Amino acid sequence: MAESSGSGGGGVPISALSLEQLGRAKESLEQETQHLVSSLQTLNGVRERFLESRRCLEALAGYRAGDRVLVPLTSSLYVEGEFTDTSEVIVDVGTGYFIRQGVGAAEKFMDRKVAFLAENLQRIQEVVNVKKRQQEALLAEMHKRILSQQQQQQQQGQSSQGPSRGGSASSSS
Amino acid sequence: MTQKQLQEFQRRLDAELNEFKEQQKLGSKLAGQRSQMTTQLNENEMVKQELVLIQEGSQIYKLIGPVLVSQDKEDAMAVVEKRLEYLNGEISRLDKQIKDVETKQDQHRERIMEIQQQAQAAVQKQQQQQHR
Repeated sequence: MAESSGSGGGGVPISALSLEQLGRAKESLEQETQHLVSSLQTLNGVRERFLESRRCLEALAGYRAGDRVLVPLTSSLYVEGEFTDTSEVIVDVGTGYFIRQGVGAAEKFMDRKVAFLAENLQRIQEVVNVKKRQQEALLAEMHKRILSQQQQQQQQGQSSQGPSRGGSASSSS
Repeated sequence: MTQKQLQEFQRRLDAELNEFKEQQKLGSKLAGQRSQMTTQLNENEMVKQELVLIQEGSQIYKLIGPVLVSQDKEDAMAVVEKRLEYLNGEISRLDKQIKDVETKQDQHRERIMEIQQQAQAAVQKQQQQQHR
């Protein structure tokens, strides 16, 4: 769905929009913000996984060929095994490709991914902040309108009650 | 305005509205496809970067089914490049289609407004005639 709704953001001043348009713009902003926040959470999860892998690699440094280890066959079934070579690991780089490389190179790979994710997280966070500020501006304008509408109604109410004292005469409210 | 004229306006309005909704649905579908392609494009770009960075002597494997099959660096690069080309082509194609859909939506929107204005004008004319 095209997110390029021009209402309220693309060069039209907020004061020129009707209350209804303001409401719609605010809702559309809210949706976009929610979507972005959920993306943030996903990216954070991925970043955690890479950090975890990184920690595993560091832990791996403490083991040598021949050391015993428990190998998981399922999430609740393990068998005893032995490290063959702890100097190299096979890393999943995406789209079905794996690279066998030294632990040092693998650590650098993890670091690169984490840095890349951190950068994107920051960019998205900034966009979220901008959208939140826009939402607040819209809300403020909406409150102003509603208040002034209420005031107008009160004034009209008073002026139409003005002349009819005592209940007689022409005013037909 | 006669009943028949009213129905005619309603019919034209409904027709345009339906077409507009069709275009909206199509637009959504295309946008989804484009977003998927972009994701794959980014993933392949990352793989390409990694392949460029690997040191001599590192072995590359490709997951085919449950098997990790050894790959040549040149082969792997070639495959990834080809996929990148394909994805870029698909994304441009989708972009063109999306643009078409947007143009059609604008046309429908305009026609809907025209019909509404014509209907309003006819109603006003009739009211003026009655008040004479």
